[in-house]
Amino acid sequence: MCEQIRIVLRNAGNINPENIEDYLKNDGYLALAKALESTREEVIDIISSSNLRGRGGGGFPTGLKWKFTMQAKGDEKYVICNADEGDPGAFMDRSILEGDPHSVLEGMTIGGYAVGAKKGIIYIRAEYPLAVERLKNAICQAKEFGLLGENILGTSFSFDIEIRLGAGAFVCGEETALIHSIEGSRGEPRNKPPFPSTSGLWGKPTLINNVETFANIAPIILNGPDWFRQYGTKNSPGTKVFALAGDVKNVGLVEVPMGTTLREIIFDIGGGIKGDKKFKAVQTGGPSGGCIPIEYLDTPIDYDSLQNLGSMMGSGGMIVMDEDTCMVDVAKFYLQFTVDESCGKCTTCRIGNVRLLEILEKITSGNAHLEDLERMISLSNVIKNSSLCGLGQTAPNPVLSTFKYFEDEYKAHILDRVCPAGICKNLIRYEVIPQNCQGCTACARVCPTQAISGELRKPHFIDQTKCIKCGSCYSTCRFNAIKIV
Amino acid sequence: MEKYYEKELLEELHDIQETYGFISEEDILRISEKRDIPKAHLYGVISFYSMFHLKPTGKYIIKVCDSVSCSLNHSADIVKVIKEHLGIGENETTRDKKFSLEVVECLGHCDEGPVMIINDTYYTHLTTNKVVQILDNLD
Ligand SMILES: Cc1cc2nc3c(=O)[nH]c(=O)nc-3n(C[C@H](O)[C@H](O)[C@H](O)COP(=O)(O)O)c2cc1C
Ligand code: SF4
Ligand code: SF4
Ligand code: FES
Repeated sequence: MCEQIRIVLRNAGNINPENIEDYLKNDGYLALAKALESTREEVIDIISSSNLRGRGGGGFPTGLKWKFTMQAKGDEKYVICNADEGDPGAFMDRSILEGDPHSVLEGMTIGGYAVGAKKGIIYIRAEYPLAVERLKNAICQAKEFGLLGENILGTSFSFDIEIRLGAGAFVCGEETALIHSIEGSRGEPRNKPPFPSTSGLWGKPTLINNVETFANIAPIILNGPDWFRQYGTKNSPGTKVFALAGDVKNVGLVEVPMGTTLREIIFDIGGGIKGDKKFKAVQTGGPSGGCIPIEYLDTPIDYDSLQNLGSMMGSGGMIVMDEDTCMVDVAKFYLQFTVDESCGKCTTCRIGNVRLLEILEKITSGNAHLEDLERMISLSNVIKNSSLCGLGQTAPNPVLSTFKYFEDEYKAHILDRVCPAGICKNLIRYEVIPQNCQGCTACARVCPTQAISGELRKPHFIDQTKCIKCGSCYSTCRFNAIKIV
Repeated sequence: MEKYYEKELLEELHDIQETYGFISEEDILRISEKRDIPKAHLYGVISFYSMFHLKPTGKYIIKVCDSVSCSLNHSADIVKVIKEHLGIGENETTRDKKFSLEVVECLGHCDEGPVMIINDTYYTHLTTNKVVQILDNLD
C-alpha cells in the first residue's frame, strides 16, 4: 500500500486559509525569515541542490532558473507565478491557492529575494474567483504582518505582489504568451531564446514558476535539500500532486512521491475503477500528454518515464478511463481542445490540427480507409516538428499514443466499421432483445423521436430510421433488454 | 510602464466587461485615445480573449464545462437542458438579456462534474433537474 506524502498540501484542508495566524502557527514564514538571514547565493544553492524541477509541466530545474535570473543584468526584475491552470483534468493549482495561499506567497517572496526582484505578479485565470479572493485577502494580511511590502521583517528587502487575471485563453499558460498578456497584447507565444530569465516582462529579467513549484520552496528552505531528496526519484525528487478524475472510485487530489506507480495511485489510493468495470487507460498530461494502457501500470512515474511512454507529466491531471471508453473518441476530444485553443500563429498548429481532427472524424464516422492512418501519422509528425510553442508541439500526442497502444481499435473503426466500445454513434445501433423485453414501455416514453413502438407487456421494436442514437432507451431499460450492436 | 499606478490594459478591459457586459465601440475609441494605441490593436486584443465581448451579453453568463472529465459525467445532457429551458443556443443571449450560454473547456473542478459557473458562482455535481432549479431561482 502506498502512502501519500504531504509537502505541497501540508496545510490545505487543515488550516483556515483566510487567517494568516493559522499559517504562522504551522511554521509559516519561518523559511522566509531564514532566507533573509542567508545570502541570495546560499538560498539558490539550497534550491539547486534539492534538485526541485518545475511543476508546470516542463520539469526544468528550478535552482538553475533562479540562478539565471539572479545573474541577468537589470535594475528591475520581476517574479511571476503562473496560475493559469487550464489543462482539462487539472485542478491542483486551484486547490493549493484556495487551501493555502500563503505557501505560494512565501515561495514567491523568497524567489524575489533570491533573484533580486521587488515585484511579484500572480497571473491567474479569471475562472478561479475563490482563489483570487483568498489570494487578495492573504496579500493584505501578509502586508499587515510586515511579511510583504517595504522592509520585510525589518530588513532592507522590499517585495510586493499583485494579481492579474487571465481572460479565457488557454495558451496564455505558456510563459511568453503569459507575459504578452500582462503587457496588454494578444497572448501569443514567441520564439525562445531570449528566455524570460533574461528578457521577460517589459523586457526585464523575469522569474516565472508554477504555483506548485512555489509551494515547494518554503519546506525546502526550512528542512534542507537532503530532506527533500529523500522523497521521490534521483532525477525527480520530491512529490507531485495529481488530480484524479474520470472513472475512478475516489476522485480528488493526491500527493505522492515521484516514482510511485500508476497502479498505486489508481488502485491503492484511487480505490480502482467505478462500478467494478475494467481499467482501460489513464490519460496524463492533458492535451499534451497521452493515454497509458494496462501493460504499463507498474511504471514508476516521473518526468522522464512518462515521456518514454509517449505521454507527459504535464501539470498533473490524471483521467482514468474504463472499458467503455473509445480511444479514438478520446483522441478526438483532446484534439478538439487544441483546435479551439490554438492561437493561430503557426500554420501547422492552426491548420494541421484541423486536418488531423478531420481524419479522426472520418474514422469515428466509419468513412476512413487504411491510408488515412498513414496520413494521420505523418501529419502528426509535421505538426510536432514545426510548431512554435508547446501547445502545437505536443498536440498530436493524444493521437499518437492512443494509436500506439490501441491500433486494433482504430483498425476496427476502419476495417470492420465498428466501435468496439460502443461510443461512436455512426457505428452503433440500439436493438431490443425480444427475449428480455418485458414490454414495460419505459423506453418508448423516453425516446425523444418516438422511434420505439410496441404494446404493453409485448416486446418493443426500435425503428432504425427514426433512432438518433441518443442512448436514452439503453439507460432507461431496467431489464437489460436493449443492446448496442 | 512609467505610469505605475495606471491600470494595465487587460485590467481595464475586465472592468468594462464586468460592469457593462461588453466592450462598446465608444469604450474602444476612448481607450485608444487615452493610451495612444491603434483601434485595430485593441480589436485584436479583445477578440483574442474569449471573456471579452463586443456585443451585449446577458446579466448572467452561464459557462458549462464540456471538457473530458465532465463529458464522461454527461455534461452534454446539462447543455441540452439549458438550451431547451432558455430557448437559446451556444453563444446566444435570451431576448430579455438575462442569460447568455457558453460551452467552455475545463473549469478546474473535474472531481465534482458536471460543472458550470454563472458569473462568479460555481455549481457542481449538476443534474438536469438541479440545473433548471438553479436557473429559475436567479432573478
Ligand atoms: C500551451 C501551454 C500551456 C501552459 N500552461 C501552463 C499553466 O497553466 N501553468 C503553468 O505553470 N505552466 C504552464 N505551461 C508551462 C509554462 O510555459 C512554464 O514552463 C512554466 O510556468 C514554468 O514554471 P515551472 O518551471 O515552475 O514549471 C504551459 C506551457 C504551454 C506550452
Ligand atoms: S504552436 Fe499553436 S499555440 Fe503555439 S504559437 Fe504556434 S499556433 Fe500558437
Ligand atoms: S424499457 Fe426494456 S423492458 Fe421496457 S419495453 Fe423497453 S426494452 Fe422492453
Ligand atoms: S473537465 Fe469539467 S471541470 Fe474539468
